[in-house]
Amino acid sequence: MGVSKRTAMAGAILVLAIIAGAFFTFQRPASQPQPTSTTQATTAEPALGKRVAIQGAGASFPYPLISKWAQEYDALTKGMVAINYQSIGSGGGIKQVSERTIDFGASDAPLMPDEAKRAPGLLHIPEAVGAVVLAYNLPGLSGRLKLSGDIIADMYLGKIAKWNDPMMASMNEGMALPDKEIVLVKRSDSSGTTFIFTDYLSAVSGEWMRSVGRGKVFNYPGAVGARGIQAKGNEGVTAIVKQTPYAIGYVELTYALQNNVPYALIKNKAGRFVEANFETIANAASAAAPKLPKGDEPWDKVSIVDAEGEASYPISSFTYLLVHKDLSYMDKGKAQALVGFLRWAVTEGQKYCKDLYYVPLPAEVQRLDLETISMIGK
Amino acid sequence: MRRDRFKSLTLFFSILFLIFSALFVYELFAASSLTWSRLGIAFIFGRRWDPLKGAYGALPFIYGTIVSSTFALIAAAILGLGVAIFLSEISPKGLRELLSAIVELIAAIPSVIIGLWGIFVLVPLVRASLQPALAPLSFIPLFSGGSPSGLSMLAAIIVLSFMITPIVATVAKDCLLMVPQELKEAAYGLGARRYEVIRHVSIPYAKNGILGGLILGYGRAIGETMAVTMVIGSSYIISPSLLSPAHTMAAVLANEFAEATDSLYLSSLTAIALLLILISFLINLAGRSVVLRWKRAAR
Repeated sequence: MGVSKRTAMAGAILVLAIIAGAFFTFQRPASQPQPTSTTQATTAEPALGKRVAIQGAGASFPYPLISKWAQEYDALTKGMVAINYQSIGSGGGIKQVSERTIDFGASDAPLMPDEAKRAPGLLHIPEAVGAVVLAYNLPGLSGRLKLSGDIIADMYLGKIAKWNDPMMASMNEGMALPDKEIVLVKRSDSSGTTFIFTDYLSAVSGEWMRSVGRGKVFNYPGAVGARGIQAKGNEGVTAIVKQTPYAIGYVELTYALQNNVPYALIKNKAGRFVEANFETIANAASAAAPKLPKGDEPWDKVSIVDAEGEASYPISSFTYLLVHKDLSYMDKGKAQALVGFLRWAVTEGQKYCKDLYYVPLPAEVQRLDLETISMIGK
Repeated sequence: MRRDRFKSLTLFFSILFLIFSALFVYELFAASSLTWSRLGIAFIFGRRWDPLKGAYGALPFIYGTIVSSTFALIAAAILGLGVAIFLSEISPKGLRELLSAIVELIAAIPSVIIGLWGIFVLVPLVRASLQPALAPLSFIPLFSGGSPSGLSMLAAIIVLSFMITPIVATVAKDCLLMVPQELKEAAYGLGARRYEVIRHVSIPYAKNGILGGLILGYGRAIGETMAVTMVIGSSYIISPSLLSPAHTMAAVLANEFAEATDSLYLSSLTAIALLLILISFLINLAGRSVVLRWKRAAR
């Protein structure tokens, strides 16, 4: 009995000691050198200066790209600049960068006016382009489904309920569309994908704009609510579309490609039916480039959906890095390293996009980004 | 002397834990104060959740959480008690150890894996087999309508009962094994059959513990997030039918918290987290008071 009590006591003291030790270590300012670690540091890092760690957080969509950048940039700087990115969601990214607890944030949508008000001086830096496609499951159908913005809006508004609706049939002449109810699928979680999709529908359909609107989540309007399906994540929507006959849903292009799910050609502003691919998506971004605001201006109105141009894919969007114009809250070396990384990411770093199914920024947007980055610290 | 010091140390830990819990609830309350001040009690009874239009009502989630976990608990109570009785009273010892180990192993499957099984195996099964099989019962509101995908309250209930049955079974089995052998032998001596011994001796003796297991399972079902989110279909509409998609409090947090930026939106989600804690707390309290009453009656 006595022994076990003593053991428990010793255990408790040990736990306390560990907690106290941890507090002590974490609270010690990083710049205050410790005798043991200095000797280690000097042996590992020759005269080039201090090793810096840059912290970023935000959207999950660009996570694979930023991780790739982190890895390549680490190699490029010989381990002197480490980029740590946590994909905690756009909401968390915007919040943390606004409160200056991290060095950069990432978001799938530009800051809305009330978010921008809480974080004055936060710059928008488009880092890559993403596109949303309409994946469908029509058993036994050969050929590629064609859709227009009106028709997509009418489907999700419940005005077109069957695959062989006259509007649908006239757009897809020569295709044997089945006399079946359309099974609609949307995201159940809030996401940038939904934002791009609703942004597009709001741009092409006044009725959608009025009765639903644009945002990272939306409710199925009216009677559609009872039959529309919701699935979690791009992977969830893709899985449901794949296993449910007569279903249609919106997903990031990557997921349709990786899972071999057919996706529709979409009628663009010029009246052409275009497939989503690297060129057509980049075209949309280029077409929108002349009208983009400066990095320190409001971006909430920015949208590259329904873009001009014969060969522009209409449902696409930028994904953004968010950085403060005034970096005086971090030490100078770190601020320099961050600026260096940003410059590299929007130019050289773009070559890693395609392998990971992101669309690289067109040259015009890269130029705009460099201009924005040069505003930092001024 | 030393005993006293040890006593105060353990007391210190207990109080520390209490303080942490209180701070936790306080923090949730503070972070959701915007919702409480703007919507008040209407937030709890509101049926409409539409962040795009600024409408926040938590009733669809509260309803879904309670219905899904209650049905799952009923299923798990029947199944789990059956398993426990077999393991403790009927099966030979060697088989008991093997089966107990397997049951405990099932309890340890990570919920995301059960969720994946749900979306790839269970949901198509619900769509293709269970829904047609239940079609003759569609005059009962509980089985009316349906979901074209199979994502539904029913799928969530099945997933949940699969997850909590092992908990209920393991706890109940351990309690039944603690019934003194003399008591059972005495009953046999009086001429009772095996069923009568189980019904009138073992279960009454172990009922406090069994109820404890049920509360534990209920708590798990209410808070379960990942697996439910993947199969429930996340519909904001309250439907009486088990075949329709629904939503739960934990699922809406998992779905929407990461990308919520608007302040009333964030505060409403936090308010749902607070309600979730309060509901689990109340259910625990209710279970405990039943146990207490039984104990008093036994005395």
